[in-house]
Amino acid sequence: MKTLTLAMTGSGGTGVVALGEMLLRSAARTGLFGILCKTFGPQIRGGESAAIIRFGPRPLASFGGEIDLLLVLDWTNFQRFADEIPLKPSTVVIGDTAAGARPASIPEGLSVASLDFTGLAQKMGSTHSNIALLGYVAAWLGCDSAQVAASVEQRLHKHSEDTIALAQQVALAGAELAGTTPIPIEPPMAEQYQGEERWLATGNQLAGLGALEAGVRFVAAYPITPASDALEWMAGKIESVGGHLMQAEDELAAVNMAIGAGYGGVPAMTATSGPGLALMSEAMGLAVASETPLVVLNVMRGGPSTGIPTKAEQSDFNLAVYGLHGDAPHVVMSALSVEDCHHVMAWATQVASERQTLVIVLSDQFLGQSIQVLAPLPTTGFKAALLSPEAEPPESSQMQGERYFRYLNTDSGVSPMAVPGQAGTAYTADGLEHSQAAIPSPKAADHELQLDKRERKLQSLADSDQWGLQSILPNARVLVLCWGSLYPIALEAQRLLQDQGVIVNVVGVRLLSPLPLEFIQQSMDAVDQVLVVEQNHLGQFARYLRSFGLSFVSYHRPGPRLFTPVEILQQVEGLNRA
Amino acid sequence: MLKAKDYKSDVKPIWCPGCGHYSVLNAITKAFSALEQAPESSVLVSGIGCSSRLPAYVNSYGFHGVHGRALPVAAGLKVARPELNVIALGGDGDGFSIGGNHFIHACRRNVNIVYVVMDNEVYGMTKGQASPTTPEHWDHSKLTPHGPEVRPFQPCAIALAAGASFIARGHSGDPNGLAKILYDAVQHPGFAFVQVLSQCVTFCPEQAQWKDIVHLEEVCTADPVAAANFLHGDDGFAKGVFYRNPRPVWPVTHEQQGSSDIRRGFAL
Repeated sequence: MKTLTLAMTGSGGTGVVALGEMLLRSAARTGLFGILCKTFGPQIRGGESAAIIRFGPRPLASFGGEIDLLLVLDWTNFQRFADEIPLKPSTVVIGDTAAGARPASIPEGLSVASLDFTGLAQKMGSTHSNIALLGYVAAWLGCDSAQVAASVEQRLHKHSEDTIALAQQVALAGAELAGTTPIPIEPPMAEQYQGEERWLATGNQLAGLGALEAGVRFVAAYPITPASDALEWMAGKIESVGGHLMQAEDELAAVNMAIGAGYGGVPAMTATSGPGLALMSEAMGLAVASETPLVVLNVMRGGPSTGIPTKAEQSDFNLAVYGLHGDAPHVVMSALSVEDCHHVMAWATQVASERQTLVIVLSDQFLGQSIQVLAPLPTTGFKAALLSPEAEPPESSQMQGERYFRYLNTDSGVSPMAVPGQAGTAYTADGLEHSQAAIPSPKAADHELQLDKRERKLQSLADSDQWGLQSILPNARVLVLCWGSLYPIALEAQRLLQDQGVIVNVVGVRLLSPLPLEFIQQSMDAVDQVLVVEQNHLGQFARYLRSFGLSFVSYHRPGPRLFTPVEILQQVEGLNRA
Repeated sequence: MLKAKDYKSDVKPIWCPGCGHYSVLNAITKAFSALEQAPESSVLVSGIGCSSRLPAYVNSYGFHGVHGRALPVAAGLKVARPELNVIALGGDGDGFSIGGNHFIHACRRNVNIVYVVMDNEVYGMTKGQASPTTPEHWDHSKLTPHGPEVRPFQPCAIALAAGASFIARGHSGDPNGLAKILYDAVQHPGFAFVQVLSQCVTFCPEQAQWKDIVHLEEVCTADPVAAANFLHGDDGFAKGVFYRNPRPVWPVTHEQQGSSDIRRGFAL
């Protein structure tokens, strides 16, 4: 599959991310697929920002690596993206004449053209050079003026009609410039597009969609990058399906609000990123001990403390799996692609509800904030129960005499859960250790029994066919095992390797805890060598797998530089040499 | 009609003899009886501390959470299940120290819940350390041998400044008066804050004298300036409803905008 990667850079306010979004949308209207990765400095507004888009004839969930075409509205701070926008000798660079001095970091010998997008826009009374550049590049991609005009209108829908009309004219002028000064690269081609429906979505939005479709009707929100836009998307939607979103005063309030709603029988969630997950950890332990359904979406970013807050890393694994106090059996899942954010959140919502427990879902900045063109996603079929006081009370066999045993020791480990409003089953949910009848108890026997129960109710999950995704090829001798956002990258590495005659299998683990050990063991047993890849400094997942007695080669490095398929390919080649 | 005793559970309280919280428990069950509500329609939500053990002693639903976080649990529950009668309760350490931020924001958010703080000016469960409401020179704690040397927190004045729409103070030595206040608090639409002077005779035996100091004040006003003037001159031992001024509760109902087709925005 021939693909092409564009990067756009500018200082904050020049509108490169807006340009990228409109370009992706315009190209999608011609039938092209693509994925846009946003990258910016931690100051969000001002400073520098960049958008990288990879276009291709089929759905794309990862980036290839080097940049084919670099579009520059402003060279300020370009060097900050040196790691994320790797240039190659054949990279074509097109810059605005007003972009400023070309930095020394741009290698000699690159083709660099300078065009007056700012002047073009100004001539028409507009300050938006990014729109002129949009028209120019969109024309090269084969978009007609109506497709670009529609994308401009969609992006600027909150502005006046005059503003939109002017922008559309500026885009037209940019397209005319493409006729006289074309981009010297062959554009990517769409495959036989018949006007099929296409979606543009981020992983964060799809996570929100999955949660709402599976029945989440209460969201507690405290903003943090890069999780905020999942919450913002839900805020516009949850009320229309009869739910509520509350903005909390801090993360501790947010997670406790969700616990309150979950205790009330209403499927509830919150979303956060690393530091927020740390703040929520005490209450998450409460959800485990009180057996309250709760989903926490954690969109990972780089590093502890503020770290690198606007870029991706897979370094909250340990916090999610081990970060709770006491023995706190809970579920941890990972989203295996932008579109899997939808699937995994729906599954998490159902699992939290049916097992009355905490489910942490790990996504990351790359999955959460990248915009992908994709075919409409089917609904997942996962559903959380909305518990109602009108429902039948727990069966009499689950009552012991007159008393309701909220934390009854059942075979499955899941006890009958009544909700406030139901008569005859009043109880106090408690993080304080308790008896089966929900009465506070300091007895060792009660503690042991309840811990066994909380763990037992999760164990059967490890047998679920939802445990992961895999791409298995005949005669493979190597397995690339990964989790989260590395899965689509590993899949692309698999295709590259296949082109070279090297057959590898790829397994992405969606269920991180409880670990689907048998499935993983089977996939390992089928090959000679196993490579575990992940994006963090410690090799957190590898250490975890080793604690189960598994052996393999681990390749891990921190973010925020995105993993590339070539990087994985090279590691596999290294294995073969070894 | 159910009597107060019908609202008691069969779990035996862990409180020390002479603890004021027994009377608060009685006042709550009296108020429930007077409200004639089905036991299952109420939920008591608490944090951590001696007073936070109370939900288990009441024949209603309960949620015993973590330190300082009763209010967010209660708010989330009430918003998710608005038909329930939700009462958050706890102590002065739980509510004003670790949970101080939630207290302020619960006052301004105005979700329709009642918040009862059993204030004994001490951390009892951890054996007698200073709390936010401990007098400045109370030197009985090993942790602050010279006293906390910090001005005590003024719960009612802070509640007023933060936007609470119902503010009252009761005394555990007067369970009937307290039951009446709680009855009014439950009826109040919006966030109702009730500070209860509830003595800890184990760590602060001098609080046994509170019964001689408290005084009833008929000062209930809807005027925040008048309430502020009163509360700033307050000796901390006045009891009664001080302020009642209903305002819109959260969540505010908006005209429904947009489609319930939540997938629509994804199409090109």
